[in-house]
Amino acid sequence: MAKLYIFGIGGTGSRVIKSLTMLLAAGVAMKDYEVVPIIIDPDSANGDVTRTVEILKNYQQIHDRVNADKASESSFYKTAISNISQNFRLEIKGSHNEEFRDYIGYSELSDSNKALISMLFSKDNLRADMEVGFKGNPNIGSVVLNQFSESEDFVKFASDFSAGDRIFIISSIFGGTGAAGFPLLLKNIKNADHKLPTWAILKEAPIGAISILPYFGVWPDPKSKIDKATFISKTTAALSYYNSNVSGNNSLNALYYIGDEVNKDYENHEGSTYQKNDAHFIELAAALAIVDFAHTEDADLKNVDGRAVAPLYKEYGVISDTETITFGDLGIRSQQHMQKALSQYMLFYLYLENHIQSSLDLPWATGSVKIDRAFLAQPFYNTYLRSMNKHFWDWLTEMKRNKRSFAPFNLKVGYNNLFEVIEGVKAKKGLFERGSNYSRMDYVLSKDEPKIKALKQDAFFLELFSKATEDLVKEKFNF
Amino acid sequence: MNELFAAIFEGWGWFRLGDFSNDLYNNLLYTPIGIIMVATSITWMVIYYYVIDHPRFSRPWHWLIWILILCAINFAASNYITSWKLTELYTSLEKDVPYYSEFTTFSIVVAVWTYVFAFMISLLIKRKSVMCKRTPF
Repeated sequence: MAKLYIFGIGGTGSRVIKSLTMLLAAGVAMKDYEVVPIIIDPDSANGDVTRTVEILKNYQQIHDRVNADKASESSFYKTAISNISQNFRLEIKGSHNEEFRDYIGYSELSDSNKALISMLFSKDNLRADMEVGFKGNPNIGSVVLNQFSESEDFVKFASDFSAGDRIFIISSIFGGTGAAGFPLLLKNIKNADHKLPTWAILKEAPIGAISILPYFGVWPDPKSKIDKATFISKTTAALSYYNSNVSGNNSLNALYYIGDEVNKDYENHEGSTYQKNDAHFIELAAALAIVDFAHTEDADLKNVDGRAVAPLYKEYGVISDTETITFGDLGIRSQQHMQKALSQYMLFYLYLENHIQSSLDLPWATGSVKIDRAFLAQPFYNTYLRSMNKHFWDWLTEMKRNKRSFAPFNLKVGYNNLFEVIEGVKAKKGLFERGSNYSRMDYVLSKDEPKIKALKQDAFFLELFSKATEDLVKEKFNF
Repeated sequence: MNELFAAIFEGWGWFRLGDFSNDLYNNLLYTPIGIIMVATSITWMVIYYYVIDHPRFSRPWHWLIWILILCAINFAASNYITSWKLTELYTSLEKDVPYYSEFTTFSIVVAVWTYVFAFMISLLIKRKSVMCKRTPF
């Protein structure tokens, strides 16, 4: 199976990977690619990174258990996710626990070199503790992250890379880590060490990237090195650089741009565990760029001598410029990619959260494969699936309360209006339909139960809910 | 058919009620009661398994209540038919009806046979139901 290596640089990179993982859990297809997320963030305790890593590990556990004996027919958790390093992170040597001045050996430099360094880096830059990343300073990041090729994890990635694999890079353009890391990573991939057996394959590899323009701000804080007033100027400078050194020289096969008006300011944290921003629609839309890239035909991603023959440039847009986005406000391709899958997973989530305990004596749970209380107590359900579902709910809640708000679902849907769950979509009601709300789900689950071939509980459970929710969203919403 | 239902309702001699049973046999009353039992049981259980077939009515106790209602219907039907026909018979003979508890006893027997018959129909037809394919077990 071909692999799609996804580099998520900085906090935004991690959050986009989180959104992508939610889409994959819901069953958004990646055209049979195995996804290999690689997080690049020197801020090892970053809240966004740790949360994303936890989600990825849960996903892997569920996918691996469901596909242990044979490939599952469930659309949920269908895409394989693998890792090249523990915790999905690419470690850059020497990027922790020291000030930038120590990292570059400032005290050992000659006076003339010190003078040169002083022109490029302020005193604050030189004293910056890199434990929490580059604090919005791409000039620091560009020095530290230039060590990619010496990283063991990078060598492992490069050695593992095969013909047919693809690469996608996620970075924000208005911070420190992403803005600096993206062009450096690209350079290191395109000019991989010739000692690596795969250097030629890497040079010709189809590479896509998304550059995320400012979409949030931070509160003013005199103690913080991060100032949202610099976001636009940094973006302008970075775009100018990319114009010459990224898109200008056809290094990329597909470059996606996305951004928004800055509608919301977050608390100003330089990094570490405190940097745990709410999920945002822009990150979900960025994840859709990866899905789009995976579905792009090979013929459109050709390289000659390491340069894209016909690079693709894409921007993301919604149909209506509204404060609260629902499925109906999205373009047709976005709807095609995720409307059905997310709606299915939402019904799955709601059933597990509100109804399953009282339904274990119904035919769907008492057939040849028993779904009983013992199953609900096992780690597959009680640890991994419930944890994923909690993250799924948090993800939806955060996107809904963010600005702009993405609210495709009615999160307050009750026991008696289950099928009013999709905002702006009226559910169909059959004249002789058996059961309503959760009872209707019980009926469809019981009807589909004999069609499920899986014999192992974990696989059976996901396949059954995948099939039943697919039938339900078709019946109720015609998705 | 009267022979067949007589054998069933009299339990091959176990539930014979003397002259009462003879009167039912001689006046061909076993046939309509038997046909009503068979027809209502089939209709009633088909309605349960294929027309209702609802998640909220799929538990064993729903099934039990449904069958008990059927038994009550057959109890009432057999009680009504026997008392009506035998009263008519003895009135034409200008005699008092010589039975009292026999009507109830016979109706209970019919209700029990209804339960047994409905149970057997359940076993035969439940597999094709969606929500009740494992009801009562």
